[in-house]
Amino acid sequence: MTCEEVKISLHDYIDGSVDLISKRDIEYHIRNCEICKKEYQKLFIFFDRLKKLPFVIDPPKDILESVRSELLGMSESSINTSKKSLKDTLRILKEKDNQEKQVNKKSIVFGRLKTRKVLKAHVLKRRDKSNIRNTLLTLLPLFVIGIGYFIYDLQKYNYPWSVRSLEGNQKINGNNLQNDLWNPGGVLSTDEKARAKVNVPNIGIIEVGYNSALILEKAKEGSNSIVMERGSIRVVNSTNMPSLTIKVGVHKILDRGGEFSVEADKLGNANINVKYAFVEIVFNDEHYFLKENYSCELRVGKEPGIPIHQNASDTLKNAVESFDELNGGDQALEKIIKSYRESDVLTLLALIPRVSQLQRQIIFQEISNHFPPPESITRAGIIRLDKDMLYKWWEEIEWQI
Amino acid sequence: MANENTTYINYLIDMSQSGRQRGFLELCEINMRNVFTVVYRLLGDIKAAKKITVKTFLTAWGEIKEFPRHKPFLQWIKGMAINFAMDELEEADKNRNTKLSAPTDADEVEFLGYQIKQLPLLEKTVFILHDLEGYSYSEIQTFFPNLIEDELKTILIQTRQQLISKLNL
Repeated sequence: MTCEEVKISLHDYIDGSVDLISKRDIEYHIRNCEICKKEYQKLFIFFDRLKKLPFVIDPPKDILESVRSELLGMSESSINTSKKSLKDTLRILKEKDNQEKQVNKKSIVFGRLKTRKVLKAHVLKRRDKSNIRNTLLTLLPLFVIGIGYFIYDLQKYNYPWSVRSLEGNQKINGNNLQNDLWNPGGVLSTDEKARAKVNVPNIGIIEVGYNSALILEKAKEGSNSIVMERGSIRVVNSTNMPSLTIKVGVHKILDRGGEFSVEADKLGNANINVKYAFVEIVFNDEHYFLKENYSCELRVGKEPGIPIHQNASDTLKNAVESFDELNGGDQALEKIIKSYRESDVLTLLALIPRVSQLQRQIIFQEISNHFPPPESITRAGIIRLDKDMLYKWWEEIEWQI
Repeated sequence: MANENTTYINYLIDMSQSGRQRGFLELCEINMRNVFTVVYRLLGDIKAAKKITVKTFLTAWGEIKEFPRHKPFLQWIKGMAINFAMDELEEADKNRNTKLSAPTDADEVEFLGYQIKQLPLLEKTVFILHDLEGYSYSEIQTFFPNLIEDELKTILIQTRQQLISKLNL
């Protein structure tokens, strides 16, 4: 490399955008050329000084307030504009109406002088009026139905949710309050010293642990949902038919009654633990079930992990973990089959869709030894992963464990 | 340059797109420092930077329904802010008759800041975007569609050399 080439390439070198060979060439040249070495040192000092410039600059404190007031001003002016245009329209219509009235008055006063043409115009006008009346009468039932539906829909709203502090102060939308109401769109957060209890109407309670952040997305009878950004929650139902969805990353956890807890990190990874009854997990439109005393891991972009019983042996837990991590693996499967107990059968059942056909046959036999499938479930159906059969068998085993 | 939108940011975008100002104001708060920083670096004046930052967020509110969901929100809003700041710089350059006087008792970092402020519009923008904001040449090219990447690279190298000589390194 010549000095001139090095002088130009030095910038790429310092930006870290040269390939390995050029990098070596430049470094070799710098070591052996005093002029280029000086150039490099100048650039180095320059970038060192550049780094000392503030990384971010604090904006004036009132800047957000300026945006807020401008936004409010924008919406008010749009309301005023629409009010003004409505006023103008009303004025024009009133003027037209007055003009028509004047014409009609004249026609009545000079009734005898009405020509056929004027009479014809009157008939047409009446026809128009009756057409409008008919249209309005046709639309009336639709309007009444619309109003009725609106009132019915209004009754289905299921908020606010009351929030009570269990420890420290929780925040709703950044406001530090001990007791507050949580509305849709609101963000409930706790720090490392705060815990809170949320009373969800018609569902039960949610205990929010330390360092948590939750967004109340929807609160309506039949569809309540919260987005879990991070932290931990414990859901305790007071109804058998709850309608609560907890969204963690790409996974949805559907509350099916009972009691369960969720711990999630900022990235959307989570751990679900069911204490009573069961929960349903939705990922890519596929449904997975988690029974009481079972837990499972949720990883971003991956289907839910294999469920594991809380009393499962450490060997089984390790084998399941390794199976989840490797997304399969003969050795892990062998360990699972060797170390499972009867209470772990739902772990085996969850493995069926994730193993080869041959392995499915082995697992089918293992489960059948403990819980023989009813007549509606066949070996062939399970091997070809018939969804209905897999679910029926899960239901059959679930109540027996 | 910018990261992907988090679930929360996407949620706030949804809120904003459905016309809820509260969600949008939360987006403003989250991105305010980053937007203000790039605008201030380009304009070098707190008052003008505040004006352009507010203008950027108000324009974004007007155009939030057209926000391209595949783009990181910060990249989108910063792009808008940079364009406004460049327009403002161009206008200011036309009206500027006198040169700023060099700070008398400035330390070396302040002096560098002053020298960056003195650069012409094109050189200043390319330098700030690449060396201070971490934009790639292809990203910078979106603001200067008439220039090819090699031209931008040449401008950057010349600007760096000019600054180095001003600093007497």
